[in-house]
Amino acid sequence: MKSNDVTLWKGQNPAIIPPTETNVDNILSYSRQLHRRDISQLTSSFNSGNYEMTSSYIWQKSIALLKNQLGNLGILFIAEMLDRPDITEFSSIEQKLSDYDAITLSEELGFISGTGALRLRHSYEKLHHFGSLEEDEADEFQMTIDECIGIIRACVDNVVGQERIEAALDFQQFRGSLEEESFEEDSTEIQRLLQSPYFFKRTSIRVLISLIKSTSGAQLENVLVNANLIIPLLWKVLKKPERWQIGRAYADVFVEGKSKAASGLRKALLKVKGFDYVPEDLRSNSYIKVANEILVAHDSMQNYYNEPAPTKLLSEMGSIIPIPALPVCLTAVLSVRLGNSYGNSWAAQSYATSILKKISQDRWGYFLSDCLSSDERILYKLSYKLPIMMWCDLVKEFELMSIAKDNVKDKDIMRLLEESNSGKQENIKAIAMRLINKLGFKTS
Amino acid sequence: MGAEFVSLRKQLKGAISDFLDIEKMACPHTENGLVEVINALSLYREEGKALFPKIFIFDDLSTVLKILAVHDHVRVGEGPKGQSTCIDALKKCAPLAQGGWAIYILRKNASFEYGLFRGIGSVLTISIENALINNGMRDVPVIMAQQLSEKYVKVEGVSGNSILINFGATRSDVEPSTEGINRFINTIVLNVPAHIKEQTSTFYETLFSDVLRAGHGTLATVISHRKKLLPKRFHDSIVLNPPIDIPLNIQSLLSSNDIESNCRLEASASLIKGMMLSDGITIFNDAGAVVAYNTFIKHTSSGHFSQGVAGGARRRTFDFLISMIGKGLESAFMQSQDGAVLCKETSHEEQ
Repeated sequence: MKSNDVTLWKGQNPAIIPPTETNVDNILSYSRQLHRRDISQLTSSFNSGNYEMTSSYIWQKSIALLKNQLGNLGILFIAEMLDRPDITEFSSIEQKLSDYDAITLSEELGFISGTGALRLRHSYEKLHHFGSLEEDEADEFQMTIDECIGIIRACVDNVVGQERIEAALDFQQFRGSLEEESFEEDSTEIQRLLQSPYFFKRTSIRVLISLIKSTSGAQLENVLVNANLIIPLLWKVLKKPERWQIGRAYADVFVEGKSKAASGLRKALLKVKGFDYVPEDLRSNSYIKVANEILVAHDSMQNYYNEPAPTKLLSEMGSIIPIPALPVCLTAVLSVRLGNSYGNSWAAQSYATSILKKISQDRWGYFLSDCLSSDERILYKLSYKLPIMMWCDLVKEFELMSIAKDNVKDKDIMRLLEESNSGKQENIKAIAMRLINKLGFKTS
Repeated sequence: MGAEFVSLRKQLKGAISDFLDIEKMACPHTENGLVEVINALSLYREEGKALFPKIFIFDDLSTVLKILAVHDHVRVGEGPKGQSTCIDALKKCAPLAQGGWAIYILRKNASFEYGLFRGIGSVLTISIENALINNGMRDVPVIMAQQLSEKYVKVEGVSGNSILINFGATRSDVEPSTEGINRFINTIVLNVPAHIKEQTSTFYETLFSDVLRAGHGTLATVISHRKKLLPKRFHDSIVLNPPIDIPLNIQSLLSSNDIESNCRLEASASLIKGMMLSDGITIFNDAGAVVAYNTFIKHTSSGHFSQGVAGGARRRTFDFLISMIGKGLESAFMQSQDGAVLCKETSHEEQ
């Protein structure tokens, strides 16, 4: 059995619209979570040829619904799942969670299926593109009827047409079990977790951390027993960003005076000799916050205008990014530098480049060897032509191939860099998709 | 006939030897050094001022510092293994071991290194002894010595093993107990929301420990948070309106994580400590707030305290407070000037 065949949980929501259906009225008739008034306005707008307006309207409704349902899991849970220290209990999920984050998290927790997430991501790219066009371009390049139908179908099929949008039942049970019972190494759930793709392991670690931070009493005791079983079992395969997240969680509960939680995590870290991943200061949190501001700006409709300010801020924060913050900082800066399938923010490029120039060779080595293979955001970008071109330029400019030779053991990452150095776009895309598949995400 | 020579040293050395064995830190140099340190700690003063340094002895500085997460440390010196280096460590570091700094003695293969270290964070950050001793792990052996109050020195290890040394000639059976303090604090935090109960307890543990070391007696009691007015007998009080709501301040610090909230909490701690070191009774409620202080009650003619009770006015007042438990009070606490602690709560468990 392949690793990707074993999953701890799976999005249950089936496709509800027949594949052959192309009539918008019929597609909209599957909507269970839209008011009649909404359906009537969508139909009328579509029939009037306002394709962008129609698709934007149903998109906003769908994303609002997804965010609302994610919010029901608790804002602090969401913060931990996204590793976002900038999200607090007082944050608005609507403001803090980008559409990209909402789709990715919904996929990770089984709110939507992998294929559904893929279709929603494509819809998001299209909307993003048309929403970012300058006025003269917008007149010239308008959304087509087929593109609009595709977006409506993705939204109805995966969100507003579903009777219920909630986390996969298996996930809810797994999360509940982590706080209600103590697993053994031979428990079915643990065995499945060990065989699952990386993304389930990462999610499980994040769920554990969020429960350690939020539970108390007997529940906390169960969670800590499970953490002391699961963390040592996964430690060898955990990539450094996840190891740092555990170390940062220890520092957080320690500073907040949660001695029982700190004591439990301390035992787990001692078992795996993981204290090297406990940050010696909390500077990294400031960097992580700004990096996430860049990513929120990058995911916004006005990304070309919104990216420069937070990117400038990061470039002015100091010449050395703390190691625990390096993965998300590089993800953010590379997102600005690579842009999306339609271009990038010119005004933010100089700041992004100045940050990248300050990254030392050993830190590039760390990113390439330990972070890139699980950085689905950057890997997804390498499925689009323009970001691939920007990536190839970057690989040459910063001589990443020669850095990788001394650091990278992952054959796929090595091949990705080799092909990038040679500028072979189709091969780059194929390798990036393979890496995403290995993580456990759908690519087709 | 010559005078009989009485020395604590032999008895202490034997106890320390057994203690180090149990802690898996047996070493003759440590044994001798620790005896000297304990002796020096019993009445430690610098220029007339009492100091209460905490001394930690361990073998792995790197792991210890990482356990403290965000930390700082200053290496002060190094010397041959033995008592002279331990005494040097105390002399050179004790005056600096304030404001969260503690002394460390690192046992290396051929020498003892010493210096100061501390955790960095807010008022709520877990203390060094909590992380290394109370919730310590046998894989990281650490022992701690500190003067609890005048003439009392305590040595603890990660195995839950401890020695209390009383350098006084009386009351050797009465421990200046953290257990009595903890029981009283449990009644203060009884109705604090679960998610901040632990931090509120820790806040008060630190506060009461400071009060204990101040060498001043204190009296305190807890009333239900549902009571809007103090019991009539407590009318001679300075009532705090609004009360000092520690859980609220803790919640604010956890939410905002800013300097202002931390300062506010530190300021509250300082204020409450001052109240507890003032004459009269400090009144808490069972939701973690301080509601009144400087409270005086008339009770000598009431006949509530039992016959034959020895002691002064503070003890008589404490006995009166005990008589009111279940009749408006939830618990009563007394710490005498010599550090002895008495606590009684509604469960009627008296130390």
